[in-house]
Amino acid sequence: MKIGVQEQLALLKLGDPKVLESIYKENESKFIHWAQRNHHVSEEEAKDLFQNCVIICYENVVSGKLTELNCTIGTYLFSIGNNLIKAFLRKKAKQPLSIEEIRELDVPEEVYAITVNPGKIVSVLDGLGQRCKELLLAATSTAFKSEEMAEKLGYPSAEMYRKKKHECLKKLKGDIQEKKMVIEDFLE
Amino acid sequence: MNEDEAFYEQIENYLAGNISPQEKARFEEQIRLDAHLAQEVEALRTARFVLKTGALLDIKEQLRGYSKELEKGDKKKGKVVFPHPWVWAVAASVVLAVGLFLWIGKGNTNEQLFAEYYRPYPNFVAPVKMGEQDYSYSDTTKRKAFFAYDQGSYKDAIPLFKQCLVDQNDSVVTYYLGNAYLGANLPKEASETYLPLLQLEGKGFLFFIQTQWYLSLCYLKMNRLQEARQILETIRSSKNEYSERADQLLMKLD
Repeated sequence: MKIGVQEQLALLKLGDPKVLESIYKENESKFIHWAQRNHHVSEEEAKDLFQNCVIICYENVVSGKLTELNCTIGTYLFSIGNNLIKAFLRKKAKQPLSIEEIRELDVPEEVYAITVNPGKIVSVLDGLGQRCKELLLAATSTAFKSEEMAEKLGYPSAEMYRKKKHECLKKLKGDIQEKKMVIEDFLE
Repeated sequence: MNEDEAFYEQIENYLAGNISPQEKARFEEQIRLDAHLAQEVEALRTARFVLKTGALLDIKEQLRGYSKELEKGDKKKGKVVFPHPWVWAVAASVVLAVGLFLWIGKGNTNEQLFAEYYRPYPNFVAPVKMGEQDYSYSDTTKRKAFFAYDQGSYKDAIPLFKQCLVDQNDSVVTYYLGNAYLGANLPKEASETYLPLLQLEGKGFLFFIQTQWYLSLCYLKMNRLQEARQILETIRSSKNEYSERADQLLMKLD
């Protein structure tokens, strides 16, 4: 059953994986075809860029930056893609964009810098233990209130969820301070 | 919220840009004057980056999975080749062998599914670090029981929980007794603990959904698939935090 754009956005905000999956699967091949034809990128590059477009779209929905659309999600993904491909081609030509240019293109710095060393990120997160890792990642990738998060993650109350989240964040901060790590240490 | 939590929240709001320009200027002045605060802000900025990037990497992994599924679909839709009759004979024997393997391996599949979905429920009642404000556990037996549970020593926890229940009937302790049974690989005993708990306490019970979920896992482990499916269907239709995993598990059982 097809659902409307607003409904898709609402479900995406609720973290419905099925909507994310259908958005991805409906648009991947169209995007790859378009990117290859118009921007001369390889299939693998186009696929990677498309994944980043979906991530940006998801981020914008979860953060509340995107609440309504007058076009289809596919069209919106293509508009993100346009900016993202510009940033990518500049980077490929060894003329990476400045932080200001990235901001102008409205490409989140984290996505642009997704060429971080994933191993290092994963290693720090794994050091937190499964429960803390899950909690903090869930809290980061969704915009639910504490009450909703508590219910979603199976904590008996919002208060307990908040306490646990604070404990976990404190542990992460402690690990980072102990190893004297800064953001640059995670970039490739 | 205690002082420490409020301090973190203040830094979080600053890093997320959730404060007014005036507050921002004031806070930056504080950072300039206070070296300790500056260190805390920097460490939390890095923590924020790690979490944000970690979350993005997670989603990216999920998307890569969808992409692989599409690729597989494309390959399936690809060129159709009609093989020679002898190929059909070989294929038929392979299908038969695979079918036989799946049939023999069915018990093992349920075990694998159990291992995939079973995660011990955390101890929220008497956690070591979180204080005693949410539940009174002043008596030593209960303290020992939850301590053993926390350590994953489920066999030690079982008699202690039972002793607590002799002293006083308590639905939360009963729920954790069921969890301890399941953790100790005693699904029959666990199901016999969970089932009356659900019937007696009903939907108002604090751990109602969780009890349903773990009961379904007991049935899965005991190969009582019809009962497992029934409960999973209920969880799936009641739209809660366990619905999604119930849905996934049901699909894998089909």
